[in-house]
Amino acid sequence: MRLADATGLRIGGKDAIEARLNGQVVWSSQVDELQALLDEIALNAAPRSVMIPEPGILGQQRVWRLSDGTNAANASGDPVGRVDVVSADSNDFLQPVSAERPQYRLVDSLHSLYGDGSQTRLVTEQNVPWITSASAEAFYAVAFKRDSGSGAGYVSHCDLDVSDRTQQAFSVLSNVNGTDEVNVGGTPNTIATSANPIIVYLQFNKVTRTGVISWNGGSEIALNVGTVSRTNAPMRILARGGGAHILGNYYGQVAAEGVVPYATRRKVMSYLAKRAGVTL
Amino acid sequence: MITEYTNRVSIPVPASMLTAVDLKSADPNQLALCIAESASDDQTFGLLNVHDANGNLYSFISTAMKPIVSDMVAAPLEPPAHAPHVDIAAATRAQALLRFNVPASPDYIAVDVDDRTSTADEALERFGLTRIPSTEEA
Repeated sequence: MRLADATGLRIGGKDAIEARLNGQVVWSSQVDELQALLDEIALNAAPRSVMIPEPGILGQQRVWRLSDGTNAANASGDPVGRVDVVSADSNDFLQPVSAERPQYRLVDSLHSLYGDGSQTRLVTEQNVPWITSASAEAFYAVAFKRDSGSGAGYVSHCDLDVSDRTQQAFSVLSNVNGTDEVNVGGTPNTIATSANPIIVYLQFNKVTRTGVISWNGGSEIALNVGTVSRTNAPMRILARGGGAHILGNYYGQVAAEGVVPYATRRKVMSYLAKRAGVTL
Repeated sequence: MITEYTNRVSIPVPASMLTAVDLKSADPNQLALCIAESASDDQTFGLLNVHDANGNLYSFISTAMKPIVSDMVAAPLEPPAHAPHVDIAAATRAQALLRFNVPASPDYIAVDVDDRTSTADEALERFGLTRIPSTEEA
């Protein structure tokens, strides 16, 4: 039977046909787990800034060596000048300066961006409305790992180049004063102290200044939320603008404008955990 | 698939070489524009983020690199396609100050080339340099 004649192909009890290019899945007949997750989030909220650093994810090339979206970064060790988001906001992450590009890493089937702690970072093309807009509710989840012994560094950061974290709109900061922190409106929340991968999510309301936070499969606890008054805030990952660059791996992030239900929040955490090689 | 970026290059540029009002026109940034890959590479050096044992400041970068770059820095420079208006005279002045695999000094531009699996911190140790803590670490 020729493949062209096939009406269905069952592998492992599931209908499955996929095409690969250079070892990467570039098309699959199966509904991808990420796509299913985005569809589920979209039932209640608008997915934003969803960035997964895997070259061929959801059937399109997403990781590029140059910031203009040319020269695909497919080999482990390639520098990364651009990662296209998979969410419809199309607010992609760029780094036009060669010496400030993180590296794409593929180790043990885990895809990540590697920041070397010097000046590597990626920055969104535009501000991120899910943190700056008047709409009250926002969701954010991220998976990362800092190298043992590294200094403080930003995992993600929403703001202009403000060095004082108590003045920032939003940030996830690793190994500051020996702990890892999530700051919303400049109010810190200590989340962990670990050189192992950390998967953290938060759901918060900017108006009532309330929210919840959970990391590494733990129960949700109350999130301390400060005043989020910024209206001009691009998002940086692996660093803020002027310093504090993280030394370690970044496995991806999922954000949304609106309320993501509890069950979906847990699915997002499980998904990101798998991407970081962690069983919760 | 194997990356073409098989080396890591680390470079500390002394603060005294970054005094131009427009940092993009500074000689080290014109050299970076000439030998790297992007029209934005004249923004490579500027942030003073490391110091030596004597307190001298440097703008330090560390990045993946194709082996061919090592040859380019020893050859006569030419404008690349991504930067046809690069200041070749400025880039050549910076090129003449390059010193490979030596400790950092305010008198020249030290260059460390290693395997791609090496780290920026390993290069800093060889240079005799220390990161300046961010305000978050203080």
